[in-house]
Order: sequence, then C-alpha cells, then structure tokens
Amino acid sequence: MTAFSAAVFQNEFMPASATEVNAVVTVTATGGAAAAAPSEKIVVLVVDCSGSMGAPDTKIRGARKAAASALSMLPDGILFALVAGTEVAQCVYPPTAPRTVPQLARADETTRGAAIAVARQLQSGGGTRISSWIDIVRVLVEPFPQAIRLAYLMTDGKDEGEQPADLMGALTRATGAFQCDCRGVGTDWNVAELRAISSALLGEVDIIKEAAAIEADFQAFLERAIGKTVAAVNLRIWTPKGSVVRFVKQVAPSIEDLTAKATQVNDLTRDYPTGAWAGDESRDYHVCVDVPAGSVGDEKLAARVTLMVGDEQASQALVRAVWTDDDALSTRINPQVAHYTGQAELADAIQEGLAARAAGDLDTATMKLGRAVQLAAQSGNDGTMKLLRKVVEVENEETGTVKVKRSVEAADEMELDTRSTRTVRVNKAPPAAPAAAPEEAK
Amino acid sequence: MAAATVTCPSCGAQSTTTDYCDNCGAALSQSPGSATAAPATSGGGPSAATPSSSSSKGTPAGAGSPASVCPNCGANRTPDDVFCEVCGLDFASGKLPAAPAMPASATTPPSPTAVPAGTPSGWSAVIEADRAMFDSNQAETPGSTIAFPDGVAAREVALAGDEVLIGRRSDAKGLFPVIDLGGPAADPGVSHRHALLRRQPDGSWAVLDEASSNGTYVNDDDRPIDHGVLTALHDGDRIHIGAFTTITIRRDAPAPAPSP
Repeated sequence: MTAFSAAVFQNEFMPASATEVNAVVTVTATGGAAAAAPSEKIVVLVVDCSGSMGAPDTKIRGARKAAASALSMLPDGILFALVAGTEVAQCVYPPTAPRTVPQLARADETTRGAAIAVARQLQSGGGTRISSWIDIVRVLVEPFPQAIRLAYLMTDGKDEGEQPADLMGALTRATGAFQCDCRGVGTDWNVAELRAISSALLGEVDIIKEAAAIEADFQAFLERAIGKTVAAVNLRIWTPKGSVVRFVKQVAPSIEDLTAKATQVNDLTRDYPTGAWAGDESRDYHVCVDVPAGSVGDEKLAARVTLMVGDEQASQALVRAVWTDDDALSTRINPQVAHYTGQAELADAIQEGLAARAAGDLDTATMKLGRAVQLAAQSGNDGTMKLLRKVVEVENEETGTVKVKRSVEAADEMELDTRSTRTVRVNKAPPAAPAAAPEEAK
Repeated sequence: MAAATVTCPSCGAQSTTTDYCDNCGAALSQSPGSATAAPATSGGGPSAATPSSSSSKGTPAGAGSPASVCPNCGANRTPDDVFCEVCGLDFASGKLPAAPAMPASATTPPSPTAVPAGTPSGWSAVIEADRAMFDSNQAETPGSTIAFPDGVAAREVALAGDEVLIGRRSDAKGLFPVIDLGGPAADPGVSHRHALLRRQPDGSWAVLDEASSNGTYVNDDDRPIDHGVLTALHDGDRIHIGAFTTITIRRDAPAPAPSP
C-alpha cells in the first residue's frame, strides 16, 4: 500500500504588516511496490501518421518499430489502444466495429500480437489535427473513471488545419480524464504547443532528436506508466478567510504551475490536481499565499495542505505565519524557498532568452541566457547547464557572462526549451559560497 | 472524527479543527506551545537560539530527524557537514562566521592609484564613446537594447608600465582594469578582462585580445584580431571594443621615455 508523507519548509516569521507567506511542501510516496489493491491501468499510444512522418520515412518506420516494441512490453491485464493520428484520429487497435464507439483492449498474448501486426502496418499520409487525437483518447478512457489513465502522444509537426481554440477546447474536455506525455520528433514541431498539451494534461513534454531514439523513449514511458500505483492525488489547500492564493506550483522534479488548475471545494478550500503517483516518488510544491496582516505576536495558519487520494486524507502539512518585530528572524529566507524561486527564474530566463534570440534581439538573449547560466551554476543544475552550453559560450558561470553562439542546432535549442523546467533539489547544490567563508576569513 | 467544535477567540467562528481556526487561521489556545511563546523568546534572545525551537514545529509531518537541520537558519544539513552551507554556522563551536570580510575589494585601492607601476612610456590612450561605431553596430543588430551614453567626454590615460588592462571593473573578482569601461560611459559589451596593451621592446605598444566575449577590432578591419596574437599599434590606431567604445593610441609629441 502506498503511503504519503508531507513536510513543510518555510520561514514562518514575518515582519509586522507583511502578508506574503511562502513555503515549500515536499510530498513523498513510499511502499508502492507492494500495492495491495492495484488500480486498473490504461495506456493509450497516439502515433502521428501525418504525411510529414513519411519524409524522411525513417520517422514512420521509427514510429512503427517503437510502437510494436512498446506494445510487446505491455503486461497482461493492462487496458490499451493504439491510435493513428492525422487530420482525424483512428483507433487502429483494437479495431472499431461499425457504428460503435472505439474501445480499449485488455492485454494478453493474442491482443498484443494483433496490435503489433497493426503497428507494423502504420502508414503516413494526411494532416495533423491534434484536437481529434485528444478527443478520441478521452472517449476511450471515459468508461474507466477510477483507473490510472495515461497517454503517450508522439508527433513530428505542428497542429494544422484547425484553430488554436479547437485544440484548447479538446484540452478542456480532456482535463482530468487522462494524463498525457508529449514527444516531438525532429525539429518541425512547436515546443509551446506540445507544452500546452502536456501541461494541461499533467504530463511531460520532451524532444526526440532522432527517430531511432523513439523506441527507447517509448519503453521508458511504459516503465514509468507501469510503476504508477495511485490514480488521482489532489493537494487540497485550505487558506484563511480573506486570503489570496498567489500560486501553487510543482517545483520538483519539474516546474508546473497548478494555480489555474484548481477546483473549488468550498469557500476557503481548493483542490490542485497532481495526477498519478508511483510508489517511490517525491515531489516538491511551492505554495505562496497572501494572508490578512497580523500584528506582532500573532500566529496564524496560512495554509493547511492535505493530500487527498480519492476522498481519503493521506497526509497533512501546515504552513504558518508568525508576526515578529525581530528582524533577525523575519528577514531570513528559507533555503528551499530561495532555491525554488531561483529554479523558476531559471526556467523563465531560458524561455525568454530563447524567445529573444528567435526574435533577433541578441542583447536580451545574452542577458537572459547569461542569467540562466548564473542560476544553473549557483543551484548545481548540471543537466540544464549542459544544455545551455550548447547554445551559449560561457565565459564566466559566476557572473553569467556569456556569448550567444551564432549558429545553434535547432534540436539543441528545442531541447533546452523543453527541458528548461526541470529542476534539481536543494541538497544537490554544490557548497554555497558562505560555507567557505570560515576558511577564507583566516 | 468527533463533531466537536471550538469557538475561535479571534473571529468567533465555530471551528471544526482544534489546532488553528478553520475560518481565520488563528492559533487556538489548545495548540501546545504555539502563538505567544515564539515572539516572546524571539524578541530579545540571540538569533542562534530562538528559531530552532520554533522551526521544528513548522515541519510537523515527518520533516526528518531534528539533527538534519541547522540550528541557526533551519537549512538542511547532512551529518558530514562541518559548517552550514547556508549561514556558515560552525556546528562544532556554534559560532557564526565573522561578518563578511571581503579581502579583495576592501583592500584594493580605487583604480587610478592602481596604476603606479612603471614610468610613463610617452604614449597615451584616448577613450571615447563612439557614436559612429554605435550606429554601425546598431544597424547590424536591430532591436538592441543598449543605449548610447550621450554627453560623456573622451578621457585620456597615459600608458605606463609594461602592460595595461582594458576591461570592466568587477568588485567580485577584485578586477580593476586601468582602462575601465565599467564607470562613466559603461559599455556592457566589454568583457571584464577584455584586452591587454603590451609594451614592445622598441617602446611602442601592441594589443592582445584576452578571449573577450565580443572581440577586439583594430581600425577598419571587419574581423576581430585573433586571440593570442599580438597586434602592433601605431600612432593614431583605433581599437574598437564592446558596443561603442573606441580607444585611440597616441604617441606624445616628443618621445623621451625609452632613449636614455
């Protein structure tokens, strides 16, 4: 049985008249491997079969191979479907009987074999209308509201032949119905578009630079999917009367703003969806609340964070506010809060820097990406630093002095963009400067 | 769950939670050792002592063992840490590091007095914000946000010693170039350590690019000078760096220095 725990990191001390309370809540799931009552699990593979997948045809062949390989790994008992996406979405396995809605198949020797045969025959041709792909997955999973419902959407191009509002409409309909990881193959797809889909559907976006790498990525997705043991976990956050929730963000392992995804439970309480969890996962959330100002000596609860698994309370954490006239207490910044504030700025700096570079504004790009290098170095975010170095020449990490490279591989730039939201945890940081101070002061 | 409620002394609501009011969030008196205790101690005591008691309360649900947190600032620590990585507390002695001693910047004199080494060479450099260069660079990079510093007069620096650094001052690095483009008419395109003027055996000067970000250009050459290659300078040669800085090398009328 998966158990959850929650811990709060904050400086609860605030100067008189201050109202903003910040805290990092670490949620950890344990003991998942021996889940007592495993939930029903659904995996839907959505493969782009538009005409562009045939040019070069390594892409459609890579997709066929990857889909066949992933299907062969499906464990018995899991519910699955294979969707081919063009300007329409077709559930190619299991085949849809005439005048019926598409349905899922349960994995066993026979269904796996049949599905693999279909995957090997996938043809490219047609357009890319992603809203139809999202809609068909929703229809497929709808009969199983209690299940862990995951989709893997792979495309090589932009959403075409429809208005952005059409895609947004499909995402709104699908919100809460399933989670969706998105993968862009090559460099002709749009990062912002796939990020919008994965973000709305609580998934991750990533780039697959070479068609040959689709298979390994597909397998990794499936392994993660199989590891999920708890279907829908919500952060239920109560805040006091008169308060305003400024934001609730997942900040580790990656940044995902949940603020706009909240559903109201009652006047003072909202649920923030976190999707399915594996039995050995840990995530951090940054909660920022404006509370009515207290006077010196007051202690108030700024937020009660309850982890809800279905309707069950799994764990609880308290975010407090204590008003004091002792500056030594109130001016201290909690290291976790500071760290994740920096990681959020890092992601923003990268995205803004790349946007400026695309717009030809090299000064802004240099400034923003320089700041990103500085933040990545300070926080020990080596993964992001490595990607940054493909786009800028780093002269000095500490000061963020960089030179934007004149020619950058499009794939490197898109990789930096898609992975800009990946964070590291605070204790992974190298010794911060003050730690060395006693040595230097000699 | 029992349906018992508590009347909140702060807002008067019937709270179903007994630790904090479920309406206004006020700490309810039943809550062990809350509200009033914390500020009372925090008012006068040394900051090293107070937060440890209260911050451990702030992490009620399995925040890890108490020993894994710095008693001064509450930062996480591992058992191997000798000092807190955040506030620098020495865990063994309980002492905080002395107020930041900044050896470099505190002891380094301001840039003009940093030059004394060496005798005047009979050469000088005239540093100016160059409008024509700025305009030409702007044309190449439309959308640039760098502004031209209007109304800043050219200044002249006598070249002395064997080497003269051109760059942008950095307190953090303890770097104070003789020709500093970080002060008036600061040029953001100049690297901290941008280029070096080096005196030649014949008494003239040459320029060396110090792996700058944006390169060093001499006269009207479109290409920056190569890193690591000395480029000889003559009277009247112009060095272009950054977004708008032009440095003109001048030989003073009589050239007395190297002869005796």
